[in-house]
Amino acid sequence: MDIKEFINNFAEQFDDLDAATLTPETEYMALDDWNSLVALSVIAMIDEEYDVTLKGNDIREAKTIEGLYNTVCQKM
Amino acid sequence: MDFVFKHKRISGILTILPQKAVKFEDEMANYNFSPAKCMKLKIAMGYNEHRIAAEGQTSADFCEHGLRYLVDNNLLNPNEVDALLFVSQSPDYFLPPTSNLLHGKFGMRQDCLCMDINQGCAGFELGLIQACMLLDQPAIKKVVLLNADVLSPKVSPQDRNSKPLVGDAAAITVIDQCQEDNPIYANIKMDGTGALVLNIPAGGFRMPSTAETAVMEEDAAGNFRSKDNLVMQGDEVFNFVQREVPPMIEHLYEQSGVDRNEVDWYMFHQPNKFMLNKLADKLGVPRDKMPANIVENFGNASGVTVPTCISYNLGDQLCNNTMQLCMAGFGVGLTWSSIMMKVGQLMFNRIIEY
Repeated sequence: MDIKEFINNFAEQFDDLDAATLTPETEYMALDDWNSLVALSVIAMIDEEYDVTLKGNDIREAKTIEGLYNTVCQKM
Repeated sequence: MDFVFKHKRISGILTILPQKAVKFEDEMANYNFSPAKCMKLKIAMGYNEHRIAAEGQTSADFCEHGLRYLVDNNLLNPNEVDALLFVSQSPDYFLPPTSNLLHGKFGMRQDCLCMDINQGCAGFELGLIQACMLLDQPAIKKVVLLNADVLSPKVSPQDRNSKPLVGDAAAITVIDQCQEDNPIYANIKMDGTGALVLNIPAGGFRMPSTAETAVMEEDAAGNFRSKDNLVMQGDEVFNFVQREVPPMIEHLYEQSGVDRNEVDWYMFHQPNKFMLNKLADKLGVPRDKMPANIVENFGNASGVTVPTCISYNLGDQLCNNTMQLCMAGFGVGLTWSSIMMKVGQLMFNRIIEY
């Protein structure tokens, strides 16, 4: 599973966000479009695509896209 | 736990909604978030308006109004009620049971069994299962199932997680013994380890209400609530639903022998549109067979959302036809439950306001 694909899947959970604007260092909670609903969508996407169950805490602690990617990899 | 019942049918459903409709926009100023962020949430979650009880109106009041309507319109004879079930998380008192209070108001027979059941989101399913178990008794021919909740007073006006979605409502479902087989398949599961994921911490005996429990506190997400208010861990509930509900429905298909495509309607508990859409997708069921329109129009009144969903989306259709329905409830407890049954030729399936 590669981080580029992860970033694409991540970007899809937003209403209108170009994956090209995201990097592994992006602190997603600071994004304008971030809200609790996007958080749930991300949890759902990670469950569906990678068969990993995350909690709200995992999302809050990972902070960057790379951090989240690593958390998912660890649980796979 | 699996159940199978025969020779019972639903003969009527009446949903009672508060007249007062409050729009999402009118409450936005209470939340600790920018108007722009609130509007984005509104669009994503499908918030619009919700029905809220007037000051002083309780769950029992809505039930009483509905029962009065049925009696006055010759749709129910109080003398024929063999059991009265009141399923709610908002009883009038700690004691006596609210079902007893209502029994008294309608002069029901002394032989009529009254029971209050504390349940929420899976309250319709649990109530239906309990009604069917009672109807297995030869002497119990007619059960009146009341599902009601007026929880809006318990939700903090500054809780953007919960306030927009809460709704108040009641529903009356009449279930009778019948000649036809009409098999009803049901299952229910419990997980008490997740019990506090949906909670009102203060007000009961564990933590009585005091001046301290009324103090508003901010949570990690910027919402404010007191210990007297409902608190819900959104992500835990979401994970729970995604994890447990699909396998339960798959099991129900096997148990009942009914294929997913033979089901006419999936009348599920309505936590919010987002969760229902995700659930339909996970089950491989077309989204339009699983209506998700109750929260945006009326709000989430816990156990009442399923009968509301049936009355609102099907109305007279269910009086003139018979359909294969799959109902499910999931939430507080944690409890999850589903039912596969044919419903039709109803004497009434409507909404009234109070």
